[in-house]
Amino acid sequence: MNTATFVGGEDLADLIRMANQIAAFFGAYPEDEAVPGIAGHIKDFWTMHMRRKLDAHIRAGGEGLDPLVMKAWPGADATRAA
Amino acid sequence: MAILKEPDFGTPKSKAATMVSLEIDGIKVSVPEGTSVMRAARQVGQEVPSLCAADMLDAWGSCRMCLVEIEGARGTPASCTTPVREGMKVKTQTQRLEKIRRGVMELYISDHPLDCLTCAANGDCELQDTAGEVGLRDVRYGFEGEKHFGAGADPKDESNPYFTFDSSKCIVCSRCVRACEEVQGTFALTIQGRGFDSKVSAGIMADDFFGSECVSCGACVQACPTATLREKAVHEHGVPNRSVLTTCAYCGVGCSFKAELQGDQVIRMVPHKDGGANEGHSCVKGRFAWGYATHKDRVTTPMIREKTTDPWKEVSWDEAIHYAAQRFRTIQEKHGKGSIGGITSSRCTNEEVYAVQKLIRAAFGNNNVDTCARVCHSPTGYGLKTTLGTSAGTQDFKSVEQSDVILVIGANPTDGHPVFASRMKKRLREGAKLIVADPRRIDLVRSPHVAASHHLQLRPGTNVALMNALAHVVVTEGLVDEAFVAERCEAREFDRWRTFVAEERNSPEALEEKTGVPADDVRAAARLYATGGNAAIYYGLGVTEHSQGSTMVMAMANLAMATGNIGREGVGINPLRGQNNVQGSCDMGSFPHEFSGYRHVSDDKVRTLFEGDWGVKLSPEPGLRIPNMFAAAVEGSFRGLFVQGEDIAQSDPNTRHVTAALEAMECIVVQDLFLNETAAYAHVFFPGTSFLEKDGTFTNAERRINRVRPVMAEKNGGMAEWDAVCRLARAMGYNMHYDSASDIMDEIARLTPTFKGVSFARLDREGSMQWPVDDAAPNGTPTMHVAGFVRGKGRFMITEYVPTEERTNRSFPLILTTGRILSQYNVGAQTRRTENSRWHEVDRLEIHPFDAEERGIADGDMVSIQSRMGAVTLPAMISERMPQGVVYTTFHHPTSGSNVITTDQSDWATNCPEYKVTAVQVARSNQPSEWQMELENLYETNYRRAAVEPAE
Repeated sequence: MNTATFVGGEDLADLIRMANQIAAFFGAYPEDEAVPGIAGHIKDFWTMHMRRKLDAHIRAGGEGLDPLVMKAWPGADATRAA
Repeated sequence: MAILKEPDFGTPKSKAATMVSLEIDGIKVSVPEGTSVMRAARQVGQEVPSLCAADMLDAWGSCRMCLVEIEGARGTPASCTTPVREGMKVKTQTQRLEKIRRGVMELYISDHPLDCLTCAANGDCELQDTAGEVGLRDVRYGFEGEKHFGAGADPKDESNPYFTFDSSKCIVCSRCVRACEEVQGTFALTIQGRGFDSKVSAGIMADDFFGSECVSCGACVQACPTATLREKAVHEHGVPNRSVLTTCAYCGVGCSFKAELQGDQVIRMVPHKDGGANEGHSCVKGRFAWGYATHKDRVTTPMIREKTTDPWKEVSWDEAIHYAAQRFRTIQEKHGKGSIGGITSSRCTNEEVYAVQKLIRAAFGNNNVDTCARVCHSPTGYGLKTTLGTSAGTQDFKSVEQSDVILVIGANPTDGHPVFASRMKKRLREGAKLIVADPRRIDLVRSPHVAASHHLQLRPGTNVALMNALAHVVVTEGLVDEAFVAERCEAREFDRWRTFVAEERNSPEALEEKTGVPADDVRAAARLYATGGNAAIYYGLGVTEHSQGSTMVMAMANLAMATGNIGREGVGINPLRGQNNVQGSCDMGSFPHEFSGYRHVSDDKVRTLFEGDWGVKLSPEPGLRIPNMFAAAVEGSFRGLFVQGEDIAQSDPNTRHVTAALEAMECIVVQDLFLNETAAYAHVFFPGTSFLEKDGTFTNAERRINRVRPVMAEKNGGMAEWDAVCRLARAMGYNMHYDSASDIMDEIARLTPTFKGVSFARLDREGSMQWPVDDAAPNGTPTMHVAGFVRGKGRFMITEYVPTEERTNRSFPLILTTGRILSQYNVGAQTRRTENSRWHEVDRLEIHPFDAEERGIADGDMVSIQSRMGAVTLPAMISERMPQGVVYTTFHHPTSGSNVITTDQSDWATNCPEYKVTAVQVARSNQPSEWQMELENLYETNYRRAAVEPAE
């Protein structure tokens, strides 16, 4: 059986928009709270596929992303065991 | 059970604490001060006869049948209007009383036809019963005088599709008029004429019931003691002879009904007086619009097809289930475990929903489960959990009776939640103050005997700005309930929030330009909310379906906490939830990131609990939300979907994107009553059961778990939804089995702390219970957060206003917002298949006269509505309810295609679509849109059914 578990197909542009929306909410907090806030939210609600896709974009420079998302990313991308 | 007749005590219950003792026919009784003698008598079984009294109505004292003798008092006072006094001695039956009552009855009957045997009320007529009770044997006045029946009678009014009005049977007791006023609050009926000429009228002389202000709630029919107002079904079939107590399957109010039947044929649905949510009231949908359950369009046999353009082929349940299982497994083998998923239904019972999410998590092996709450109240769950600790409203509906200020935001209760609206209007008539925040002038703003103190007519998309402005006034004018906040809330978070909202940029003056609401109005409304006594917030999808839906929910929670308006009766923050079981479907673990009881799938302890019980390894990764599923389908990695009781092709935003996703999938299994819009793209169809066939529970917006009981056998070959789901799971190799729906609830209770004390046996005993039902609250929880917040201390959140990216410009200068209408329900699959369509045959575009004139649009013209996503054509309705620059439509008819124009914008936290804000242009048009023409073609190609071969 094909064991691929994580599917998805969001446009990168959608992911960037959604990540920036999350950053816009937490951006009202001091950075030391906003960063874990963004990371926690993405980790709790985004699928693995979405996280991987945005991760690739961030590795390529993360164009269009709110700087807070970039800072939060190491925490958001913690990969859990499948 | 045999026909259930609730006792009627004649006058309403007194709420007084002081007790008064008296003697009735020698029987000692103690009742609250303010109780009527009639009620006290009936409480001890002394049935004083009456015609104009009913305990849902205030005492009226007109029929003169309930006269009694009171020791030391002169004459024979009416027991309904006489309050009890300490030491009173009452006689309900004496020779004098008997004579008077018989004489009065004689007068009534002298103007009443004696066609009892052929009358629709025969066997269910209070006049007939009372004539029997008083021993009427003769009518000395004859029947020759001027009268209201026979040749002199008015013709019957049959205009309402569900009931008749026959004034020849009327005794002018005014119960219908009072029910319309006191219970429903519409004031559609009146008594016209004087003396002997008096008769009931629905408005002016020229009005019939259908053309009048009547909203067809049925309260007058229920109140009528004769055959004057009577259900057409009773005229046609006779009076029912058995009752089953069950719960309505329309909106989130969750009214309790007595299904009254002959055999398994429903004759009528009558609201149940002991129903906690509705206490004996109903609306046109629940009371009358249940005929869809036996509509000819219902599909009752499973069907399969290889391709969506093939005709459907009827097969056995076994074949359909194995076909679906095999296609799902093939997809998973080719494309991976995560390539399939499912959608649970907020129309279905808790037990059915629970079974579907278990199928997905345990048999599919992933967390790709979502539900329609994604597109309605998901921000409520997120926002209230973050601030207060629980993903649900804080009050029961009854709480509104203690409210002094009611703030309605983005909700239209008289259309969307009519039975609750009636309760709310009753409290408003008693003097509570009303603030409405809505771009439209909804009915509540000004209707008979109700007028909002403030209508904050904000621009769509500026909710958070308005809420911050209200909070600014509270904080800067010293209106914070400091003691409450200090005791109940996190101090640091509060201080930070206080500083944030106090900033000048959050003042009503600074935000006036954005919201469009005059600063003075905002200030006055904030003062009223903060200082007017018990203040309660009621809100709807006008709050949640925005890019800042979750922020707005938190902003409302902030305001309630800051003013101490939470944790007791009369206050709180209350989502008016859309579907009958949307609360329940969320509670049952329908979201891709959490198990039942809102516990995250990554929580090892919780997951281990479920793994132990279900005997299978579960994924700790959040699965796909509905929009993720569509995106993945278009991309090609998501290939199979099980959809139960949800018409995503019609209800989800950006129809073209949705249908592209559905077309791309290899196997879609739809379970529904009808071949809905989504079924055009399905390969397997499982026929579903209607609420009249279900055994289970629904949970309403006040967290009330109500029983749903079958009144007839399943029409789909005897297959409950949960049973079909278990069979599908087994066919896919996971052993899932229950003996009954009650078994499933036992599992839910075992694995979900907030449902710990719930079982069918207890619900049958108690009537209903509001979760949490646990060791701390063994009988349930009508009001939440009483001693402390569920999360410990209340958490204020900073709610920065971030305008939506969906903006108007020269090409799309108007904002389209959407909503519902009273007679139709959501995508209309049920109500369109009833006579309710007579009130709303098509969806229309409401537009302000100025915007219409600018475009040369006259009332009724066909207009094209074009957004960045697509276009549809609808008839225009010019309406001053709309503010300039905003247009509005409903989405009850599939061909209207309002979701062809809605966008991909969504709430930042939950991806709830931004249905309420779409930039559009409107222009006159003389043809359907391209999409509408394509839909016509689809009906011809994707809904064909193979001819059934005749049996040998």
